Amino acid sequence: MTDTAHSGYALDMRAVSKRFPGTLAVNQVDFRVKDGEVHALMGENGAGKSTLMKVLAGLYDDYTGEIYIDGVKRELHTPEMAKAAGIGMVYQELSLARRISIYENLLVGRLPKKNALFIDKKKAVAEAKELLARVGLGDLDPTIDVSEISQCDAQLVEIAKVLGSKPKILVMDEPTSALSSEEVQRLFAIVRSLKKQGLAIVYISHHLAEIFEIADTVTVMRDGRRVDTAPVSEVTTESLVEKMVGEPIQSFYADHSTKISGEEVLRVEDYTRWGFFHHVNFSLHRGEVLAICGLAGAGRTEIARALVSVDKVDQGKLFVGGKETHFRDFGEAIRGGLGYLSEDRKVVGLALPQTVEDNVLSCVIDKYGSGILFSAKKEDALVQEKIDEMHVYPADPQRQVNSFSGGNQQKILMAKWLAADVDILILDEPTRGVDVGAKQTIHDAVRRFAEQGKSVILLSSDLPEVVGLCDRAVILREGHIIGEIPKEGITENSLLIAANGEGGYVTCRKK
Amino acid sequence: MMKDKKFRFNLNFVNTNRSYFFLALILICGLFMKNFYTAYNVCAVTGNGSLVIWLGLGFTICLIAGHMDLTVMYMSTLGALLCLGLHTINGIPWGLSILLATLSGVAVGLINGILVTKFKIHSFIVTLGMQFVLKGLMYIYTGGAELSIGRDYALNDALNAKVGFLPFSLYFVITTAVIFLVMVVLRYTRFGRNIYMVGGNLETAWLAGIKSNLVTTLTFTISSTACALGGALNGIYSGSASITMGEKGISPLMIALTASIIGGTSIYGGKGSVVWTWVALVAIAFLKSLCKKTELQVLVIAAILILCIFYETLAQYRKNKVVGTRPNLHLEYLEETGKKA
Amino acid sequence: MSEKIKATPNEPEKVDSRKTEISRFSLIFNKLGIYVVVILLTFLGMIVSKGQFFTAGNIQSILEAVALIGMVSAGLLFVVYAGNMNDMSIPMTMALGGMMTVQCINFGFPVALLVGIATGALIGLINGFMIGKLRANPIIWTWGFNLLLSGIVRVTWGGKQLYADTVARDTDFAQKSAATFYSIARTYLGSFISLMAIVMIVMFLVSWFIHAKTKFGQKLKIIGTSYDVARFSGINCTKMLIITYTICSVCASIGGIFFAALRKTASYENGTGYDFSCLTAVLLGGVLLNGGKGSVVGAFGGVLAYGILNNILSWVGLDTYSKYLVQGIVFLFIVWLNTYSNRKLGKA
Repeated sequence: MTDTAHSGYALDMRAVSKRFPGTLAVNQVDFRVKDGEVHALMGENGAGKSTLMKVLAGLYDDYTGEIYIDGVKRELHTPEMAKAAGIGMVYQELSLARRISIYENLLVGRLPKKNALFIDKKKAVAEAKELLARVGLGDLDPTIDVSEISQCDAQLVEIAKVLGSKPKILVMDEPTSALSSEEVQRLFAIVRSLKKQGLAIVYISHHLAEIFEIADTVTVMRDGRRVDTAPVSEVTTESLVEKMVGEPIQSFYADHSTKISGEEVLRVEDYTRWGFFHHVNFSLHRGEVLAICGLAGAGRTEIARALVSVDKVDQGKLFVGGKETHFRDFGEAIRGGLGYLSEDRKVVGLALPQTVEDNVLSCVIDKYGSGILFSAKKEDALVQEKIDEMHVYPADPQRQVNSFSGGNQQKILMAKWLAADVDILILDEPTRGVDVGAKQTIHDAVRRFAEQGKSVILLSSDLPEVVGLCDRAVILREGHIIGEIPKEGITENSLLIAANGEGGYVTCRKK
Repeated sequence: MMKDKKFRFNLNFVNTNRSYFFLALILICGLFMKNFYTAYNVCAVTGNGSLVIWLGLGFTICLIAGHMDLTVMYMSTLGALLCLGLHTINGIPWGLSILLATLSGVAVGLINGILVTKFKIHSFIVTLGMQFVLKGLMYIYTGGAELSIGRDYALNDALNAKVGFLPFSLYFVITTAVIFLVMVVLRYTRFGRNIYMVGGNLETAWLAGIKSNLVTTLTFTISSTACALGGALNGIYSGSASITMGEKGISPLMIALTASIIGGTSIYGGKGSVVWTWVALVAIAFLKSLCKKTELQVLVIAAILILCIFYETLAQYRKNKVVGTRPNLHLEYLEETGKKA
Repeated sequence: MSEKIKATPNEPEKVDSRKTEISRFSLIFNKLGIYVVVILLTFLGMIVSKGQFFTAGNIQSILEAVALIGMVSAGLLFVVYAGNMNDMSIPMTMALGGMMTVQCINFGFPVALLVGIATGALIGLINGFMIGKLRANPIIWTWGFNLLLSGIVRVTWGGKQLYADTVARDTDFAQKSAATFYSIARTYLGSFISLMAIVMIVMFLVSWFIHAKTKFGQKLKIIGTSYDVARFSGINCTKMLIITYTICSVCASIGGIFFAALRKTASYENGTGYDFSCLTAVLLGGVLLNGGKGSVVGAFGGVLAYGILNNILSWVGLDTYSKYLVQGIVFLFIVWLNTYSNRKLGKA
C-alpha cells in the first residue's frame, strides 16, 4: 500500500508518540530521512531521542503514529518486525561474542550451507569479507577472534554485522564515544561510503563538531518534541545549542547560597591513567559543588574511580586537605573522607535483594561496628534518619530494595552515601532514570550537604542539573582538562559548547 | 616492537596447541622406556584409555556451551551395565542391548538439559545431583553385582582385535572415529557453530535468533548419549562392568575435566575442541603407561591442570584490567593542540 | 529474554505491598522452615524405626554422622553464602588435615592438632587468594586444587594410610599422644553426647556469631549478593574471600581430624563425598546458591535434617547405593526449591 504522500523518504515517521505511565516521552514527532542522507538527531538526555529510536527498533508495541519505510506503512511492534522492515540498529554496547571468530559473528544465525548438513566455510568467509569491505576492513582476516582486534575495528565489525541484514535505514547511537580522532575519521569515511550506497543514516551524537562534519541534516528534540529540522549548512553551534537547551525554564533550581570558604579540600596534580585521562589538574574547595563537564567517553567516571582508588593511577598526586594522600583501596578512601556514588545503581550501586537497612549501612559497616561486632539494629536511628531525609517511600528499612521504584532506589543509594558521612562526595549521574520528585529531593540533599561545609564533585550529563547545583565547572574532553567555567558563566549553552571543545572558556584548543 | 610481536605469536601458538605439545612430550619420553613402543603396549594403552575419551567428548562439548556435565562418568557405567545386563540377564541380542543402553543416555541428557534450561538451575548443581541418582539407579538394577559378558566372546574379540596393520584396537578406532565425527559436526555444521555461540555470548546468540535452550539441551543429550554408548562398548571390550568401575586412581570424571582444560578448551565457554581433548587423553593414557605409580600420575596430571587453570585465570585477570583503554588518546591530544609531549 | 536497552527509566513503579508480606514470610520460612522438616522427619523416623528412634544407640549414631558433616558445613556455609557455590577442595582438606595431625603425633597431641588445622588454614588462604584476588572460577579452581592436593598426598605418603599408633614412636609421650588422638572421637559426656557433637555445636555457635553479629558477616552479605556492589561500597573483597575460604578449610580440616580419629586411619580417601553431602545439608538449611541469603540457624537445621534422613533410610533398609539415589533426588528437589525461593525472595 503506497502512500501518495511518499516523496523519496526512506524513513518517514509521522506524529509518533510514546507514552509511559506519567510521562509523554515522545510527543507527536515527525522525523524523515532520505536515501543517502545522514540525518543527525540531537537533544539532551530526556529529550526523547533514545525513546524515538527505540520505537524505531521495535522495542515498543504501543506507540502511536505512523511509520513509513520506503513509502510502505510498517508496524514496528517487535524487534523482528523492525529488522524485517529494514531497520538496522548499531548500539554503543557491541553485540559481538569475543571468543568467536569475526565471520561467525557477522553471520550469526545464518551461516551459509553447502548442503543439508554442512556449512560452507569458504562462502561464509567470502561473504564476511564482503561485509568487512563495506566498512573499510577489507584487509581484515575474518577467521580471527573478535578479542584480537581493536575497539575501533570491533565497532566497525558491529556495523558490518548490522549491514548483513541488508537494512535500508541505519541508526547509529553515539558511535564515536570510544574512538580516537583518527578512528573517527575512519568511521566517517565508512559512513560516507554507506551514504553513496544509498543507505539512510540516522546519527545520534552529542559531539557538535562531528555533526558539522558528517551530517547533512540535523533535527533537534527537546522535552519529547521535535524542535527544529534544518540542513547542517544553515545552523551554527550556538543556534543548535540554543535549540537543544531552549529557554531557561528551569526556575525551580533557585539560586542558593554557598559558603565557599576558599579552603582547598582536594587537589589533583598531573593525575594520569594512560589511555583514560592524562595530566589532569583541578582543585575542590570547602562548600563547593564542582562539576566535571564533558561528553560521554571523556573520562569523567574514570577520574572519579581513580580518586577513590577503585582504579589505580599511573602518575600524579592527590592532595586531601592539603596533605599528599594515597589510598590503598576504596575502603581506605571512604575512611579518609571520600565517597563515590556510582553510575549504575542496579549493577554496582545497590544490593537489590537485600533490605534498605543493609544497603544504607553497606559502606559504614566498619565504622559503626565495635571491635569485630556489628549490629544493624543499633544503627536503626541512623538508617531511619537518612531515609526520612531522602523521603524514601515507603520508609520501611526492612523492605527489600528491589520492591521500590527507580526514583526511590536512587534515593536509597543517596541515603547510603549520606550515611557514610564523608567530607567529599563524588556523584556520578545521581539523577539518571529518576522521576522529577526524586530528582528534586536529591538536589536538595546535595545542596544541604554543601551548605554543611562539605564538598561535592558532580559528574552529570543532565545540563539543567549542573547549572542549578554547581558553583564551578571544569571541562573534560578526551581525557584532558581543557578549561574551567566560573559560576557566572555556567549555562546549559556554555556547558554544551565547552564540552565540545569550543567556546570562550576553553583554554586548550585544537589547532 | 617486531620482536615483541613474534614472541607473543610464539607463546600464543604454544598455548593454543598445548595438547599436541603435551602428547609430543610424552611420546618422546616413551622412547626411553622399554616396551613402550610395542604393538601390544600401544594397543592396550589406547584401548584402555578409550572409555575416558567418550567422557571427554561429552564434557568438552558441554564446556564449550558454557556448562559442566558431571554425569559423564556414571552415565558410561550405566551404559555398560545396561548393555551387559540386558544381554546376559535378559538375553537381548547385542545390537539391541547397545541401542537400549545408548537410549538411556538420550533420556538422561534430555533431563539434564531441561533442568538446566527450563528450570534454570546451574549445570554444575544439576549434574552433581544427577550423578547420585544415576549411581543409585545402577545399584537398583544390578544389586551391586559385577556384570560380565559371560561366555559370549565374539564381540569382545572383535573390539579387541587390531585394525588392519595399525596397532590399535577396533574399540579405539571406533572411539576416534566418533571424535572425528563430532569434530566435523562442531566445525562444519550450523548446529555445531551455534554451540560455540551459545557458550561464547548467550545474549548475542539469543538475539540473533538461535534457539539457545534447544542447543543447550541437545548438547547435554549428545554428551550423555556418547557416554552411554562408550560405556556400553567398553563393557564389551573389557568383558565386565561394575558400579565401582574406575574408582581407583583418578576418577574418570576428573580425567575428562582435566583433559578438557589441559587440551585448551576454555573454562569460560565458546572456545575449545574435542580433538584437543582427544590428544590430551591419549597423552594421559600413555603417561599412565610411562609412569606406573598411580600417585605420581595423579601429581603430574594435577600439576599440569593447575598450571593451565592458573594461566587462563591470570590471562583473564590481565585482560579485565585494560578494558576500555584508548592507547593513542594522549598522543592525539598533543597533536591536535600543537603541544609537545 | 533481555532488552538491549532498558525501557525508559521515567516510569515510576507501583509499590506492591503484597510483595512485602510474602517476602517477610519467605524470610522466616527460610530461617526456621527446616525445623518443621526436622520435626516431620523425626516423626517419620519414629514410625519407621518402630519406636527405636530415641534409643541412646540410635541418637548416638545420628549425632556421629551429623557431627562430621556439621563441622564441615559450619565452614562451607560461608563459601556458599558468599556466592561461590561450593568448595570442591573439602575432601582433600579433610584428608590432609587428618594426615598432618597423625604425621606429627610425635610432637604431642596439641602440636599435632595445630599442625592439622594450620594445614587447613593454608589451603584456605590459597583458595581465597585465587578466587578473591585473581577471580578464578570457584568450582574449577577448588576442584583442580583438590586433585593437586590428592597428588601431593599420595606421592608424599606413597598412597599408604597412616595409623597414629604406628606413626608414634615407642616413647610413652608419643603413645599417649596417639591415644589422646583416638580418644577425641570416643569421648562422651553423659551417655550419648559425644565430644564430636559438642565440638560441632560449638563450631556452629562460632559460625552463627561470625555470621550474625560481626562486621565480617554483614560485609559477606553484600559480597554474596554482588561482588561488584561490595567493591563499590568500599569492602575489601579480596581480604573477605580469603577469610571466608580460610574459615571453610579450617572447619574442613577439623572435620578431617575427627574423621581420622574416628576411623583410626588417616588416608587420602578420608573426606570423599563430603563436598556433596555438606552442600546438600547447607542448601537444605536455606542458604541460597546465589549468595547473600540464609542463616546459620537454618544451616544447622539442614545438617540435622540430612542426618535424620540418612538414619531413616537406614531403618528402611536401604543400602548405600540406594541411599545415593534418594540423596540425589532430595538434592535436586532442594536445589529446585532453592531456585524457587530465590525468585520469591525477590532475586529475579
